Amino acid sequence: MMPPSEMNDAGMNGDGMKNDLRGDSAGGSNRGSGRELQYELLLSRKVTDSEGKTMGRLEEASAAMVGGECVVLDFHVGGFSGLERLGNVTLISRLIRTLGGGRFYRTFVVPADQLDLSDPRHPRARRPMDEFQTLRSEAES
Amino acid sequence: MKISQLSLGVVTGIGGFLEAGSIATSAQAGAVFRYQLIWAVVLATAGLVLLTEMSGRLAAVSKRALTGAIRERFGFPYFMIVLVVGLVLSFLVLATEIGAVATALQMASGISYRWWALPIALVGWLLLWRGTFSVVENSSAMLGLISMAFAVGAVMMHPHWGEVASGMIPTLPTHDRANYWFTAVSIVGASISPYLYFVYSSGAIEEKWDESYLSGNRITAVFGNGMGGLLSIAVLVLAGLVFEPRGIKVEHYQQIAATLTPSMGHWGFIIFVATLAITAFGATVEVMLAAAYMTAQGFGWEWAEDARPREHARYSLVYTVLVLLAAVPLVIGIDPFKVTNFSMAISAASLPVSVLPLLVLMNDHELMGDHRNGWLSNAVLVLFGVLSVVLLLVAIPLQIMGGGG
Amino acid sequence: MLLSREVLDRQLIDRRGHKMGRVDGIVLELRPGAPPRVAFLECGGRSPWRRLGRRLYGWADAVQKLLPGRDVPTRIPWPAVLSMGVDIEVSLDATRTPEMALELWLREHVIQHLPWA
Repeated sequence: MMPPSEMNDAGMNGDGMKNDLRGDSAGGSNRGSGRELQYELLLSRKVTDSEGKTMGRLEEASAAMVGGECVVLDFHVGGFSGLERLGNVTLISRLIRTLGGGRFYRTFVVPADQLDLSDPRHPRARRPMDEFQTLRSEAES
Repeated sequence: MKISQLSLGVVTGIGGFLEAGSIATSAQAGAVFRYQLIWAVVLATAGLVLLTEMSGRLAAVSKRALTGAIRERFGFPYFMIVLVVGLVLSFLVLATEIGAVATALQMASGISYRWWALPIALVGWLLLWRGTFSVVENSSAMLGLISMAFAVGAVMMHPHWGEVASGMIPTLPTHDRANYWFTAVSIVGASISPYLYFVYSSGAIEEKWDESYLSGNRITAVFGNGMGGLLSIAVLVLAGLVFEPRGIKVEHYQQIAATLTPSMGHWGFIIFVATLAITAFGATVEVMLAAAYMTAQGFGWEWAEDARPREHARYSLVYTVLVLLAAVPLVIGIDPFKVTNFSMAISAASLPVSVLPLLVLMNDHELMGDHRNGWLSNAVLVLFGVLSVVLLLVAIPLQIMGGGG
Repeated sequence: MLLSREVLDRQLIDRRGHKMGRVDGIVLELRPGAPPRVAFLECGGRSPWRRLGRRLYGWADAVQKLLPGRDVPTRIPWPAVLSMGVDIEVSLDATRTPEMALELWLREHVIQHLPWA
């Protein structure tokens, strides 16, 4: 935990300036050992599996506190079976799911280490899609 | 909910329902089609009751105002669509309402509306700037009751009530088809103004509503808007009695005073001018507030109805810039009545942007818990959703073809 | 905890109870051989505008450069998050963050000069 005086200036550190976009809309950049990525720019990206087939669009990530850190456990990739390209086009997709089309919607759970984010604009799962679990409940809507 | 809050809510609904747009569209409807379009007012009022009740329930249960809930569930990009549409519409409705107040003052003083527009904008601005909205809200609600004069006038002229009642059943037009549908669309746009339920849900948050307010919310939504709808019908009936038999089309606010003079003589003129000025001015301030709320809530700034500019610079500048811009079309001489017709069509066309998200939000388990929509509310809301999309598709073509004043 | 549903776009409250914008972005740190970590929550600056896509971001960026608010987003390290409910409470003081830069600038340079403020 950072001492309070540092926390007040947290927004003003040099990293805030350097890590802004470098003409790359996915907002990735390198900084020391870890690479930084903007989660909100990953959303709605089309995710393909190891065989190149479209699984859907990245719509959610689940995280948990592990050893004092907030760690991403898995990514949720959703799409209408057959229309995976439509994925989570927010309003339209949510409308359809609210009105009962939810049974046609499939959400894959991709563990964080199974998603290749080296190209943030084209996330790739490291395995074929049927090797991933799907979410049953409508909790995602 | 306390009785005093409840009655204020109902009174605000009555006084707030009737404003320049409803007066103008109802009068035009009555003048050309007699009682035939009463069903459009009934339909629009029902829609407003629905949307008001839902946005109040959303605020009370989820503890978020409508814009905030939209951003949280649909993300920043969709919020920007809602914001841009909302600000454009606010600009148009502001121009409409300021134009109506200016016209009323022109009728009273003989001085052109073009001179009145800026002073009116400044007075409205000052009321918010000095943090006195709550005073405005209460007094314009009370003063707005003067609009009940239309109901009195309608009753005094003894219309054939059977005929009036039959207007509640939708019928196809026998003449002026494009104009008929355009007027119907405008009536919906005038009655279901998004600023109404956006401000309503924000007010519910400021007053810290919780589940115990839900029945009061329903009563306010039904009676406030319901009575307001009756007043719109009264204007329509009066126009049908006074203008339709003579084949007179309504093309200026000034003409509409003639709906009250047969029953009230010269007082009718005075009461009309006062009603137009008071109701349109109340709407002016409320639209300014709605625009500032929408922007602040979506971006996460502090907001409050009596927010002072020294502590809320960004928020205050939103309504300041907006109201000054809205006065411009009037100052340069664009006809207020034409502005009204145009704005009401755009208002109708923009409905899907707020109605469709509500369909998702009101069914969201985490936001609404046990107070999610039942199947009946959903069915009605879906119908309105479909209707709003139809309106979006037809409003502009109809404007070009048959209406637009 | 779900990042899109429960964190992104939520209202932020500073340690004095004042609203300080919404969570406009979440910075993940990718580490070889370890799961990604939520490093910062971001608020303000360029972060929300990037989500509109390349072209719109270009326009928004040009406008922002004109504004004195500086386009630096406020970065909130995860340990500064105190609680997450309807709103996300953080232990920062809003007035010391870039998020308030535009607000403070407007208060000083515009509001001060307007009557009856």
